[in-house]
Amino acid sequence: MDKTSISILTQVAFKGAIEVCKGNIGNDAGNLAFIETLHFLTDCLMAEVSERTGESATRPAPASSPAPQAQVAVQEVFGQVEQVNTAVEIIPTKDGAPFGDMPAWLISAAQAKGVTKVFDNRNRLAQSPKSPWFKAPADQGEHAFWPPKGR
Amino acid sequence: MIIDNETNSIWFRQSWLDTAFRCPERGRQAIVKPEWDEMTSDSALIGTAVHHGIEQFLHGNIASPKGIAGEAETFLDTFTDEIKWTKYETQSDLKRQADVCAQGWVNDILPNLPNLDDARPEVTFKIPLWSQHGYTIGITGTIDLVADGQLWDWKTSARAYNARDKQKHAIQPTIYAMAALNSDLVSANSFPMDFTYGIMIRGSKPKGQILKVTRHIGHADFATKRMMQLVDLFQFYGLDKTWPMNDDHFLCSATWCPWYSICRGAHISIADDRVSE
Repeated sequence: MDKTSISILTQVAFKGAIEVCKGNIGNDAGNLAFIETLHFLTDCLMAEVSERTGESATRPAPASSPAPQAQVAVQEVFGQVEQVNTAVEIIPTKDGAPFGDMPAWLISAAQAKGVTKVFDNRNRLAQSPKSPWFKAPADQGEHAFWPPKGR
Repeated sequence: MIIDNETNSIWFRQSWLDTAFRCPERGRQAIVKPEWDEMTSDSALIGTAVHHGIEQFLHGNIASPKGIAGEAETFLDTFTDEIKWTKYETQSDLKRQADVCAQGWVNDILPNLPNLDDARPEVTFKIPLWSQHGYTIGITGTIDLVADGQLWDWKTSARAYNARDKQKHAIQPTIYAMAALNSDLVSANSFPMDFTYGIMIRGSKPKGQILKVTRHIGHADFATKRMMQLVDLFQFYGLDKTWPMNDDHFLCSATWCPWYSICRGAHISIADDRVSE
């Protein structure tokens, strides 16, 4: 099976896995379920095609999470503008982050500092209310983010 | 709102946001029944023709700005689709108004433009901003002019713009500032960021207006929050159910909304709106 066919099958499996797991992606358990579903659907599709065509098929390397794969596809279609930042994401942790929806104020605040990934600290605010709500990892400058005070 | 299921992404255009923020249901109809809104209005066609002329000048395809009006007229001559006549009656009216607008741009706007040496006319952007419900959410559009670190957009209008209204409500400057923040469009890509309208006013005499609005990070936050609400609407309501309607605006009318007859107009007649004696 050629790369194009494998790519198409993977995309079909990817969409199927998104459909099955939507609403749960973003925490460790949900991400794991997504990856397992993606593998299962990819294997099923490959096996079906192999059986019908007699060709052997090798499953491509699995995606680690849905968002990066979606972004790669998005970035390929850029026109005249050279992009500096990319979509802001909350880094999944073993504690099960994100602890709520991504607030709108975080997106521009992060992008203004060139930050695209943040740790979600909202689960610790009850113990230390002055802590930042979000924090960028070391490779992105460890910037801290609090919600805006009334402007 | 462009829903791309191939890449699991949703792209917002400022023009659609302007519509959907005012009336979400009108925004939904523009997605599900776009064919109802295919006909360009006479006023919009004048604007498109003048935009074309200015673009030709800024790209260096015509040597003198005096040629903009001629380019706009040629554009009108070659436009053969049926149009919706709202304010004007003849092709000559359209050409006359295109001439007035082009002259207004040359007299009042061109002399106030920044250095055009490295100007970039018609800059298209497509920028992802965040992830929501498994979709990558972003903004897309075309900026009329980026020059010397400034964002410019041309408008044709029946009347001068109100500075207070645009500073408070306009969505286009916010979206373009967000695009600039995340791209190489301007070197000082941080808030606050300025955006300038170059407005050509239709009428009997050429007149141009320059109006600068400033966008702060709070404008971007609020626009983002409202875009998130629209993504939620799409996710939880889908496109088959009616979205919230807002008839508290003059654009909610048979003249200005192509879907009026199946929305408010399906319930309330013109007679029902008449003031009783």
